[in-house]
Amino acid sequence: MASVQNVGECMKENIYYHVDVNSAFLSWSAVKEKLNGSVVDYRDIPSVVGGDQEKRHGIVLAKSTPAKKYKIQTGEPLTDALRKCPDLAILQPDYDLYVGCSRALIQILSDVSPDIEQYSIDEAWVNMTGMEGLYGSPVIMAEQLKNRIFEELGFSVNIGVSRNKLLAKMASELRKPNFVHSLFTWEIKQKMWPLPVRELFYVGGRTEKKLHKLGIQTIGDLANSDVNVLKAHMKKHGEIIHRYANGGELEPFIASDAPNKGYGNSVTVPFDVTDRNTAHQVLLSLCETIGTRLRVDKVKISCVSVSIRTFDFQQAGQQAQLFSPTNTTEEIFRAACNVFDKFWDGRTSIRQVGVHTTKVNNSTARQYNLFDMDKYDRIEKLDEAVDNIRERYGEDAIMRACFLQSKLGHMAGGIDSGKRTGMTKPV
Amino acid sequence: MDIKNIPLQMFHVTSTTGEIRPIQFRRETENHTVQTVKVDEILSIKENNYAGINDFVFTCKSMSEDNIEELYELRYIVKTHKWLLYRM
Repeated sequence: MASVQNVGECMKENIYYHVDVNSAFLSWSAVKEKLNGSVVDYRDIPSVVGGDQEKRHGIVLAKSTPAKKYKIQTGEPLTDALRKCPDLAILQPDYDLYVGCSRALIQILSDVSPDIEQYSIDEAWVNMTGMEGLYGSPVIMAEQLKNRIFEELGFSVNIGVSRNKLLAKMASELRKPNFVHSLFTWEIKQKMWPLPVRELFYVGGRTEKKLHKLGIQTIGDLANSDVNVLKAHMKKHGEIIHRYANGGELEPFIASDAPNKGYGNSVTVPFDVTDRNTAHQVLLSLCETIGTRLRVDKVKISCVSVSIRTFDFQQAGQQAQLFSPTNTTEEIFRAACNVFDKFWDGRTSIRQVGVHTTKVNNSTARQYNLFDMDKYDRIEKLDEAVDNIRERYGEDAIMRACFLQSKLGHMAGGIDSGKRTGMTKPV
Repeated sequence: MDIKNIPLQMFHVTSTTGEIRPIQFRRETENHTVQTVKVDEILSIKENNYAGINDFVFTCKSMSEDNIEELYELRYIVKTHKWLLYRM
């Protein structure tokens, strides 16, 4: 807790809260189950929210604190989780509920401060700068806010209090569930530096490995290491995480409007694909999605890669360059089929198919091929017309006839339409 | 009181200022007959927002057929306009 002299320092500085819902999907589902008369509180027993096993999307989406003790990890298959804990309770996801919960949370936060930045469905930053006169000590206020959320909405949150967004986020991750932590500059050494380096914002699995090779195990090691060494190994990223480790500002580095380096989608098919026609159809549905995304962003690509995952989880893939940059569904699809036919043996059962396009540029010119008989201008016009119809009347308003009798969706990949909530990304 | 969550057919009154009051409801009993219950008294009203589900819980009192006072809670879910016999 901040002492009196430290409160003085807070007044001069910015104050940010980072509010993070504890195992969000699970606790939201648990609260709903309790309202529906469930005797057990799923937050107190080993339980997970799992995807639809029928559709072969059976992975762990969220886990309760007791489930953590069984080393169940978010993202692992439900069957693995059940092996680790046979008594595991599995809840079905309910995205409407989650959106409702998220909105209600933001509503409460906006009662407290006008400046809120939602980072994901269950996380938000609250700017509390200059609120000390109104609410008193930021830490005590955070405690009250946390309790209010629990009383009104029925789920617990962690709140991190600090002078910038990064430290606030780090603080909210310290100890869970249902805690308020402060992480001011004078507390960095004691609270943040002993943590393993993986806990730092922007340090993922790969960076962690690189850092371990450099002998950096904790955030403190990283903060005290030579920034030039980090830069030599990780370029700009090294400099960023070095600054983060020293409690630097988050802002200048999160550039939300950085252009995409590639556009890709993949889909796990509900059944194993064993014939070429079906495989091509899956490719078409993926290309449809990618093409639409490219045209929305007004960019073209000139490299198409196809990857597959077989029934026994083997990966395979290949890529090909296009003659001229394009964003028409037709051309991407044709290229994808060519690539796919080159490496698939025609027998092995396929579980997951992905199409990824790279070499993005925003040229409007097209290089015509002397021997090419395609009427590209007409294809482009057709795509444009289809895009307009979909934008106005919904994605399913128009589709290719080959998908009429098919069990596959006509625009595969990305988030299911049921899960597209518009909460963190525009729908 | 145990949580029941039985869906109901409800007569209710909405006042000019937007307050809702249950008057009488029909419910399906355990042996699948329809029972009509008149709400004699509303003891308390509470608005909740648990899990972002906005609802009103009315604690009510009625006289049963055997002249016994019965206490129960009715729940009105704002988003779906559904009435439930919440707890009894």
